[in-house]
Amino acid sequence: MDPEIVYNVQQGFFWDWKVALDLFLGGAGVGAFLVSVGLYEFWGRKYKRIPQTAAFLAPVLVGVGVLILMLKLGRPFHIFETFINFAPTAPLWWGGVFQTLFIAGALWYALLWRDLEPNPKRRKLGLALTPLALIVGGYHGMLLAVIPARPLWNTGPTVLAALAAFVTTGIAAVMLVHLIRMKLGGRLADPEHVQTFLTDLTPVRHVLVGGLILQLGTFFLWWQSLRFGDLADRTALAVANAGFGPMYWWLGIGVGLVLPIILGVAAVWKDSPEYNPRRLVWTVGVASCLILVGGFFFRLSVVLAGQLNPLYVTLP
Amino acid sequence: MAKRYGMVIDLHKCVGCAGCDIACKSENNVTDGFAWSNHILETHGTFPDVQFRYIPTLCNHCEDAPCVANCPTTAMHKSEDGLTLHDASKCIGCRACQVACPYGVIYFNEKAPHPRFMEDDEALIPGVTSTGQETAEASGAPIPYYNPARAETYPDIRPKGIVEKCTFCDHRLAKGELPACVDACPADARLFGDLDDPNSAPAQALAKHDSDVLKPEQGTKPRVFYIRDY
Amino acid sequence: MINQNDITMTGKGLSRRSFLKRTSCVGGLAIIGGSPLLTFFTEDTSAQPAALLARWVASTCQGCTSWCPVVVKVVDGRVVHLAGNPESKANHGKICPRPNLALQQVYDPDRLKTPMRRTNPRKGRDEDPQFVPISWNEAMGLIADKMMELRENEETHKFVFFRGRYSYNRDIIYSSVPKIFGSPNGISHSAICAEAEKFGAYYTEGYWDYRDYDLEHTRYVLCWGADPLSSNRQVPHAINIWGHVRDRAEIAVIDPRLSATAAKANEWLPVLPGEDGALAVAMAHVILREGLWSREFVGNFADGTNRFLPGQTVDEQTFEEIHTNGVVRWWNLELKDRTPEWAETQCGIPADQIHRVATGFAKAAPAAISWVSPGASMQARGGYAALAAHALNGLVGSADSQGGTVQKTKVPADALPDFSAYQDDLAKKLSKKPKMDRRGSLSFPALNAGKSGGGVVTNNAADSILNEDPYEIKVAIANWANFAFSCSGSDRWERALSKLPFFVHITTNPSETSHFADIVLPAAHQLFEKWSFLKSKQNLHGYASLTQPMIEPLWDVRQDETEVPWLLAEALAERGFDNMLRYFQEAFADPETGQHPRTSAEFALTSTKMFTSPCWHSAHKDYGKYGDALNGWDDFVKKGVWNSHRFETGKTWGKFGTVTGRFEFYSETLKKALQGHADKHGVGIDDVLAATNYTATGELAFLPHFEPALRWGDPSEFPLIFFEHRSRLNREGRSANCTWYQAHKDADPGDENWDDVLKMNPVDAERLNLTDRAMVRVVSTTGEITVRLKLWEGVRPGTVAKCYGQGHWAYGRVAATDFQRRIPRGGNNNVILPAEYERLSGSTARHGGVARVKVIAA
Repeated sequence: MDPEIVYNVQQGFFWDWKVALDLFLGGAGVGAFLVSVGLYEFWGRKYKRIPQTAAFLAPVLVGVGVLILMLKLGRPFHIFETFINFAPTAPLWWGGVFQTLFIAGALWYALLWRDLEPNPKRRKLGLALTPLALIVGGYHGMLLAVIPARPLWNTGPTVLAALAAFVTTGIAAVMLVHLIRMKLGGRLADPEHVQTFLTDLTPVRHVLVGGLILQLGTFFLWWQSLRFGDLADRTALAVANAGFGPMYWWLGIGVGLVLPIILGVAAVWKDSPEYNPRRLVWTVGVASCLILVGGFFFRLSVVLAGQLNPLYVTLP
Repeated sequence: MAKRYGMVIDLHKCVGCAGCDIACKSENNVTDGFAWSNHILETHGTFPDVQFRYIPTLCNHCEDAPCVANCPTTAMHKSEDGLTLHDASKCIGCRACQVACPYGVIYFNEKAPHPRFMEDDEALIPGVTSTGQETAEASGAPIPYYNPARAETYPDIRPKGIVEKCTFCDHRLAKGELPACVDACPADARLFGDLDDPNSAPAQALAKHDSDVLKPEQGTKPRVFYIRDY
Repeated sequence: MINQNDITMTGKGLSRRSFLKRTSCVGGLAIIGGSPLLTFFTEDTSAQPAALLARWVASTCQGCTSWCPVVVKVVDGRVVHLAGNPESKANHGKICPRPNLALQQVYDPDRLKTPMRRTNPRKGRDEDPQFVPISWNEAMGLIADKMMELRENEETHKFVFFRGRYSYNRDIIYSSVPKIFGSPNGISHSAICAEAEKFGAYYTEGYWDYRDYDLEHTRYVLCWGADPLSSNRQVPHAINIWGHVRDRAEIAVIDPRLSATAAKANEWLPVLPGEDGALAVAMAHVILREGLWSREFVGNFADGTNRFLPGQTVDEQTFEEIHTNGVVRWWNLELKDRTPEWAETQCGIPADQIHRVATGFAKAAPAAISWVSPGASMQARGGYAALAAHALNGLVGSADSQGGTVQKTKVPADALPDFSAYQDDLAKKLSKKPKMDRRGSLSFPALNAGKSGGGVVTNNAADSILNEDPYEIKVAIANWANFAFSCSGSDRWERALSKLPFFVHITTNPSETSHFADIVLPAAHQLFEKWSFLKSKQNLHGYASLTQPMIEPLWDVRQDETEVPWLLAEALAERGFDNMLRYFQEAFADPETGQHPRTSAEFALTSTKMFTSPCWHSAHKDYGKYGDALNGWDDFVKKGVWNSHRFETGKTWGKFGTVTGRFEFYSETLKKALQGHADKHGVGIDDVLAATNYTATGELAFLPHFEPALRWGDPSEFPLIFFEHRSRLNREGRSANCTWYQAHKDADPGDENWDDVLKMNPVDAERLNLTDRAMVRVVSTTGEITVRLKLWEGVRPGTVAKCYGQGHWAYGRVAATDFQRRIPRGGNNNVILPAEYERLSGSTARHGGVARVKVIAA
C-alpha cells in the first residue's frame, strides 16, 4: 500500500477570492494607467477621451482592489503598520506602500484629466508615475512567485503571466468602461464618435491581441515548467488541475484568452474599421467582458490552487 | 553575546507520545485546534512488514525564514538569538507568513480563541454542572489553567485576527529555562541550546550524528534538526 | 546557559492579592467582555515575572496505574502545568502525556458542582433522570435514611459498595463502611483490570502482583501484548529508557496491532488474538529443543545430553532440576509436540519468526524479559496463556535476574485500624454472608493468591443484581467507578443499575453510571483536591506517593474516600447508628499529636498521615527500614514521595512463594488451589476446568499449556475477530471529555483526532467492499456500535481493532457527539464485547478476540 502520511495543520485557504480580486483589480488598474499614458504620450492621438477614461479608471480599480484586500486582513485597521515599518523583502509591503503611493499619484493624474486641454504638468506626472505603475504591476506578479513553499506559484512564468495579464485586463477594462461612458453620454449612437473611437483604439487593439497571445505563451511556459519540474512541481500541478482545472482551463484560458483572441484576430484580419463599425464595437465590448471574466478566474484559480498542494513534509 | 538557538530531535529516543504537544498547549495557552508543537505520522509498507514513524514538528526557526521575508510589517522577525518571533502588535493578519511557510506551523485566529471557556454559557445539567464561562470566572482567569508567564513576551492569549506560532518559549529562555516541550519530553528526545556553543547538547549531538532537516530544498535553513531513526 | 532541570520548590508563593493586582486587567475584563483582552494592550513592564508567583506542589497522577509521582505548578490558586517529581526514583522526574490532561479534568465545565437528586423515578438509558441540585446535608440524609431502613429490616447485607479506582486510603470506605454497617459487599473493580495477569506469576513463582522489569540491564524484551510506551505500569520510565533499551537489546512485540511499542521494536509478531498461548508454548519448545534453557536456574541432564527432541518423551530421572519444578513433565505432557510449525497454523506467526524470537530471547537470558500484560491474559482462556508466557522467564532463568523480571520492594504503610469492636451483632452476623458477586462458586473460582473465592468477579455483579442471586441488592454506592461504561456487556449494567431501588454514585463528572443513580455526589479530583497516598513501583524502586489538596475547589466537592464516609457516618449517627462515626473519631489519630479528627477534612488528613507514617514518622518501627527516612510529615508533603531501596535481584531463588519453593512449571500451587476449589464443591478438578471454559483435563491443568481461543459468534456470520487496545491518552476512560485528548488522539498509531476509528486492514476492506473513512456498523452477538472505518496496514487481516475509551454518551459535551440526545462520539467497545470471563482468576475476558463481528456500511 502507498505510504500514509498524516500531517494535521490549519485547514482552508489562507488567501481567498479577496486576494484574487485585489490582484485582478490592481493589475487592471495599472494596465489602465499605462493605457492612458501610452495612448496619449506614445501615439499622441488627438482624441483624448480614452486616455481620460483610463486615467480615472486606474486609481479607482487599484483603490477598490486595496480596499477589498483590507477586508481580508485579520486586523484591517492596523494596516498602518505596513507604512511605519520597512520590509523590503516582502512583496506585500511593496504592494502596500507603492500601491498607496500609486493610488495617490494616479488620483492626482486623473484630476489633471478633468479637462482635455493639453497639460504639460499632466504629461510629466504621467511619465513620472509610469515606473511606479510598473513596480505595482510587478508586485502583482512577485507576490505569488517568490514563495517557494507554493510550487505552483514559484516559477518565472508566474511573473510574466501576471505582467501580461495586467496589460490585457487593463486594456479590456478601459475599452469596456469607455464604451459604457460613450453609451451613457449618447455618443455610441454617433457614427463619427464611434469611428474616432475605433481609430484611436487601433494601437491598443494590437497591443491587446499581442498581449493575449503573449499571455497564452506564458501560460504554456508555466505549465511546462511545472509539468517537467521536480516531484513537488508535478504534484502541485496535478493537485491544482484536480481542484481548479476546469475553472482555469475553461474560464481562465478559454473565456479569457482563446475566445478574445479569436474575436480579436477576426477583427484585425478584416483590418477595416469602416467595414462594420457597429459590429466592431460589439466585438470590442464582448471581448473586453470575456477578458475581464477570464482574467479574474485565472487569478482566482491560481491563488486557490496554489494553496492546495499538500504539505508533503517528511524526512529522508 | 548573541546565541544561535536550535533544537535537535532524536527520533531514536522519541516514542511519539505527544507529551510535547500537550505541554506546549498548556504552557502557551494555545487554543483548541492549533498545535504549535505538532507531528507528522507515517505508515509505510504492507502487512506484516509495516513501519510507523512519528516526526515531531514545531516552528523550525529558520535562518532564512520565509515567514519573515514575506511579512509586510516586520511582525515576523528574527531575534538577536536567532529565534523567529512574532510581534503581535504589528500583525495585520494578512496571512502572508502562513502562505509562505513550507511547514504549516503558523496558525491564524479566524475566530475568537478558547470558545469552550470564553463563549460557553450553557450548562449540561442546569444548576448542577457549570458552564465554560462560569468555570473560567470562578478560577479567576480567562481560561482556568491559564499560564500568566506566557504574557511576559507575547500576548497571553492571541486574539481573533492575528497569527501565532511557536516561539521556542522565549519567555522561558529569558529566565534560563528550557522550552516547555523540551522539559516535558519523557524520552529526553529534545536537545535545546546554543548551536554556536560546542558544549551545548544540540551542538554535541550534531557533531556526533548525521542530521536532517525538513524540506532542505526550500533553502530555509531550519534550526530544528533530526538525528537517528524512529 | 540553560538549566536542564528547572523544577524548583518555591514554598508558598506570593499572595493572591499581589497577583490579582498584576493581572486584573487580563482576567477580569476578559470575562466580562466575553472575549480575550490581551496584555499587549496593557503592557505593564513593572510586573513581576509570573514564575515568582508560581509554586510547585507534589502529588500523584492516577491517569493510569503507573501512579507516577508528579509536581504541579500552582499559580494564584490555579493549577496550570505538571511535571514529573524529580524526587522520585521510579519515574525520575518524567511524565507521560496523561498528567497534563488532568488540568482539563479538574476544570472541566461539565464537572458536577453540587450533589444532585433524581426526580424521574423511571430509570433507563432513554429516561431523562431530571436531576436537580441538592445540598450535601440533604443528600447524606437521604442515603442514611435508606441505609437505616436496611438496618431496621435486618438486611444490611443488601447494601453494596462498588469500588472503582482507588487510593490506598480505600479501605475506609471499601472495608470499614460496609462491614461496620453490616454488609460483606465491598466489591472492587480489580477483575475488570488485570487479575489474570497476576495468575501467571502466582502459579509459577508464588507472587500475586505485577512484576517490575530491569530495563536498564536487559538484552531482550519480549512483550506479550504489552505496550509499555503507552500504558501500564511504568509508562514514563519505559519511555525514558527506551532509547537505551534499543541501543542494547532486541525488542519483540506480540500484538495483532502495530502498537506504539511495536513501532519501536525489532520484531513485530501480529498474533491472532487469543492465541498467545500457542505462541508461548512453541517458544518454550524451541528453547528446550535448542538446549537454550538456563543451566544455572533450571538445571541440566545429568550427562549433559539434551534429550528434548520433538515428539519424544523424556525420562524425568535423567534431568537434575535446581530452582524449578517439573520441566520434564512440562515437556512430556505439553511441549514436545508444540513445534513452531504447529504454532504457525494456530497463531498466525511464521515458524521461522517464532524460532528466531525464541532463540534470541533465550540467548540474551538471563538479561531477558518476558513481559506479560492484560492483552495476553485477560482472555477467556488466558490464565494458562499468562502461565506459559511468564514461565519463559523461568525457563531461561530471567525471573529475578539482573536484566530480567523482578518482584517488588516493600513499601511500608499502616493498615486500617481494627474496626471489629465497632461492629454490632447485626453487622457481625450479616457481614459474614456470601459476597454478592458469587465468587468462589463452581464456575467462578476467582483463585486470588490460591484461595477459592479470594478474588472478585466484578462484572458478575450485574447479573447478581438482575437475578437477585445470591440475594436482592437494595442500596448501592459506587465510587470512581463507571461500570455502565467500563464493563463488557455494558447493557447488563444498564439494566442492573436501573433495577436497583436506591443507587448512589460518587463521581467528578456525570457519567453513564450516574445516569441510573438516585443521588450523585461530586467528588474531589484525585490529583489536585484530595489527601491520599498510592503505592507502586517502577525502575526497581517501590514508592509511596502523596496526593494533596493544592487548590480551593471551584465547586462544592468532597474527598470521596474519606470525607464522604465521614459525612455518611455523621448522618447515620444522627439517625441513631453511631458506630461508624465513633470508629472514625476514636480509632483514627494523628501519629504525632494523637489528636482525633473532628471534621471530615481533618479525617482526610489524619487518615493519610496514619497510613503513611512508616515513611516519615521517626517513631514508627519501620521508619527508614525499607528506604527513605523522610524528615517528618512536612518533608513528606514537600517531597511528595518516599522511595524504597533499589530492588536487589536473585534473592528469591530457592525460596519462591510457591508450594515447592521453586519456580513451578508443574504448578503444585495451582494444583492445591484447584483441589481446594474442587473439594469445596465436591467435584473433581476436571469438572472445575470444564465449568470454567477450559478444555484441558488431567495433569495439564497444572501446567502452562495451549488452550484454543474462545470466541463468541459464528465465523460464517461474524467473519472478523474484534479486539481492543489502550490509548496513551486514556486516563482510565475518563479523559474523553478533554479537548486535548481528542486533539491528540492520533498519537495512538492508526487513530484519528476527534474520532474513534475502527482499524481494518485494507485487504479485508477490499474483500468486504468497504471504503476508508466510511461510517460502519460493527455488530457482535451482543450489541452493535457505529463508528468510522480507518484502513490501516498496522492491523492483522481478519481482525479489526478499536481503542477503548471513547463512545461515551453521558460523560460531557466533548466526549459525546450530542449529550442531550445521548449520542456518543464513536462507540463503546463494551457494547459489543460479551460479558465473558477468565474464571479461574475471576477476570473479565475483554481481550483475546472474544467477540467476532461483522462490519457493515452504515
